[in-house]
Amino acid sequence: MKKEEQLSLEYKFEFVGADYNSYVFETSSKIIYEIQFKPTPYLFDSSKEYAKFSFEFIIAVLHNPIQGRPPLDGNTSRTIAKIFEDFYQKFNNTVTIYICESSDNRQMVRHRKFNIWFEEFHENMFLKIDTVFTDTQGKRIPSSLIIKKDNPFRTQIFDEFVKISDSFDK
Amino acid sequence: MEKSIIDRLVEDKKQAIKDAKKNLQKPEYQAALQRLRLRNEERRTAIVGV
Repeated sequence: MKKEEQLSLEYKFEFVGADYNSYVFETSSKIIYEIQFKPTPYLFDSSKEYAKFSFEFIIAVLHNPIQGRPPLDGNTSRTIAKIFEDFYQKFNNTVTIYICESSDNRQMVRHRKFNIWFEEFHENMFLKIDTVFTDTQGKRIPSSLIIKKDNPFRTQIFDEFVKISDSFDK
Repeated sequence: MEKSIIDRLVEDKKQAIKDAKKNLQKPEYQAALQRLRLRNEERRTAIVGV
């Protein structure tokens, strides 16, 4: 492998912080992505110690000079995985919820892609639990909850997430 | 009717994606992008210099 190729396995990224614990990076196609870890203290019962560590994982495009959907780019996936790790290094007890964007009804496709991404990059450090929620419009929305394997609250977190998920089936 | 957790998550996500383009104009984002471009430039220089 050439040196340039070795160095380009992922893009460099910067932590912005701000309200949503944002990161930014720019691809070789000059697309600028923002990765957010938006606090979701309402996800769990607020009396639970882990409630304050819960975040919604959001991938947003800040700038896209190419018209249409950004092209497939393996470096983007690797960069997002590195950002994910970086955030969990900052806050070890992080609980992330990822819900698949559903405004264009492609949520199931996104869910499959997200699963492939997770399997490729979790490196046995993370645990994921999946469910499908139904919103008030009746739309089915696949969602995943991710924690580090060594999260001290993992049993309670998964139990409570299953309870939340079950409450949507009633 | 009280919003369900999933409705809040969906709305928050939609709003965040909608607001993303505006974030680019914020000084903290501009500063981060400037740092990022500087680091990318340093990397390119390092590759050329090898």
